[in-house]
Amino acid sequence: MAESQIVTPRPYARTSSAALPLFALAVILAALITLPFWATGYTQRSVLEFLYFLALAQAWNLMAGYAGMMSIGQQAFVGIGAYGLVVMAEDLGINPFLTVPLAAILAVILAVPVSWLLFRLKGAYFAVATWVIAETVRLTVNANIDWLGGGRGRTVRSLGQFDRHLREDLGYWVALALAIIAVFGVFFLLRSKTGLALQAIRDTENGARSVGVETRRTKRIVYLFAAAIAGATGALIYIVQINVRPDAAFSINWAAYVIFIVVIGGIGTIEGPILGTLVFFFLRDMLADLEAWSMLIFGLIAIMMMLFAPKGLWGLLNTHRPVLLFRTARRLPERFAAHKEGE
Amino acid sequence: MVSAVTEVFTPLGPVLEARALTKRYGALTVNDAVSFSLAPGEALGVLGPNGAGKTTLLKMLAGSTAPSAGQVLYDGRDMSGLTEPARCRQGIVRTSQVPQPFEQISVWENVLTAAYHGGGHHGDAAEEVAYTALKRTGLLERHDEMAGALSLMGRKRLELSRALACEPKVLLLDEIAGGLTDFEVHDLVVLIQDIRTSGVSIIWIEHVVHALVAVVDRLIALDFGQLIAEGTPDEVMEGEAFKRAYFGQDAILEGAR
Repeated sequence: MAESQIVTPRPYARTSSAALPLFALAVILAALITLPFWATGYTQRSVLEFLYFLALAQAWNLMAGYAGMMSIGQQAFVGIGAYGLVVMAEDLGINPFLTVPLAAILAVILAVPVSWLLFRLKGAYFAVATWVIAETVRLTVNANIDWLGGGRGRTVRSLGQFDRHLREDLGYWVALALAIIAVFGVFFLLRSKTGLALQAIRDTENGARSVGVETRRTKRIVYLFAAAIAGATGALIYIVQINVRPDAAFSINWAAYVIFIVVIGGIGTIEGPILGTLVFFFLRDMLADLEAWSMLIFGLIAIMMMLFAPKGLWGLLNTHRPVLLFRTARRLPERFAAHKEGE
Repeated sequence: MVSAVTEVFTPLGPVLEARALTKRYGALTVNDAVSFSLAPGEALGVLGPNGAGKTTLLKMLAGSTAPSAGQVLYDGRDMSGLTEPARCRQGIVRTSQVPQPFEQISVWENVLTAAYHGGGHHGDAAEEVAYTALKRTGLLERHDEMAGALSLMGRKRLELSRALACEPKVLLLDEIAGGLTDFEVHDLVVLIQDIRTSGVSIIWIEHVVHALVAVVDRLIALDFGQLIAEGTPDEVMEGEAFKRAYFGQDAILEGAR
């Protein structure tokens, strides 16, 4: 790794060292895909949880870190996905695992009108409105819709048709697929023309508009993508947990934990949320005995990170030795570089 | 007594036309029924003291501010319903007085963003356009630098590179020479002349008058939101209304003594 000593103007992994992260990625993916065959049930359940938090974190990071939309209301779509599972599996007789993509579609359909309301607001107003909308949905489901079981919620009985191991394994693979879609979806989106638009919006929205970027449409794409991921995650979580209660399904913790993950990992990068999710699970295990105090400690850590390391742990790690797993940056194509030197 | 108004006769209609553009913020009128037109290939300079409403006028043309009254016509079509990004894609492109670089991405990515979105290109064609734009503005050497690391001149060049990557038909420049050294201004003038020669119509707001008159065919002058003079650079700058706006009533009296 001697070549990484060379100071480059931008934090790129050079072509020669790009093979290593790629190899690491392949090994990790292979290990994850085969995990149900060699890991304990406890490990499998922990990794499953890791995967759906990772999916939520990637989606939130794209929305907040790139498009500047600080939503604290993604639990609305987690809950919608959860109740989507209940209604589709229990009342419509759809295979519970098939409800995961359908829940994503349901979340998108509901997110469209919500975005009309929200996109009139900016900054803190936007953030508060996302929360208010999520609370409104929670309270409505909690108190007013008997069909959904009110405050007690409902149980997904149709999951009984599956053997417990089969259910857990299928759930695990669905979670893995979801995490892969989230990570690589964000990666390919960022490498596209829309990704450039997003980064432009992040840096200056007025500047972006002045070069022809349709800022609203771009933000809407991201908002709907995040809603889809949250909706699918909601259905998945309750395939594992079986009992859907409004207070849990629409809990603000879905937003709070995810914000914590992204902030400590490093907002505005793909690697940050991955690292953040790992750290979050490690801390949560360590602090499990402290119960309510653990939330205070999480909050304190997040505040310290924001003040002293706004680029998160990934930012701290990445200042001296730039190694990127996901290179989203676009560079001047080789054909032009050759031109230039010819002059 | 009254400033001369030169008529520009061209076989084609104006490429851009402001019809009684007015902007009010409550009781404050920033632009008061300003009308003028820009011929294809023409370079028009805009002069006026600070607060005369020059930037607001440019913003109304570009669509980033909606006029309180009046119209913008582009190739004879009313632009009222079109947003700033839509006008940009159609060819009305504005550079900002304070450069707005996308600081956390590279110079190359900044210009590529403009080529994709403002230029409406895909794939290799977008890269081609971005490359040409950077080459013209002399920023190609610094393609790999983060835009946030650029100096003021670098930022201004980037602003211009991005505008070029949008492939403008009408380029609106807002004090692009402000804050630069004489040497840098000279380079910029050469560049803008080159852009103009390539067939782009230009409206340029500038306080650096020698730079402005080196490029433009015609000037308009604004004061307190109103058009006070229009004509060739000499006509406008020798006109009484213009002198009064810049130097005050007394300056004229002293000159008369």
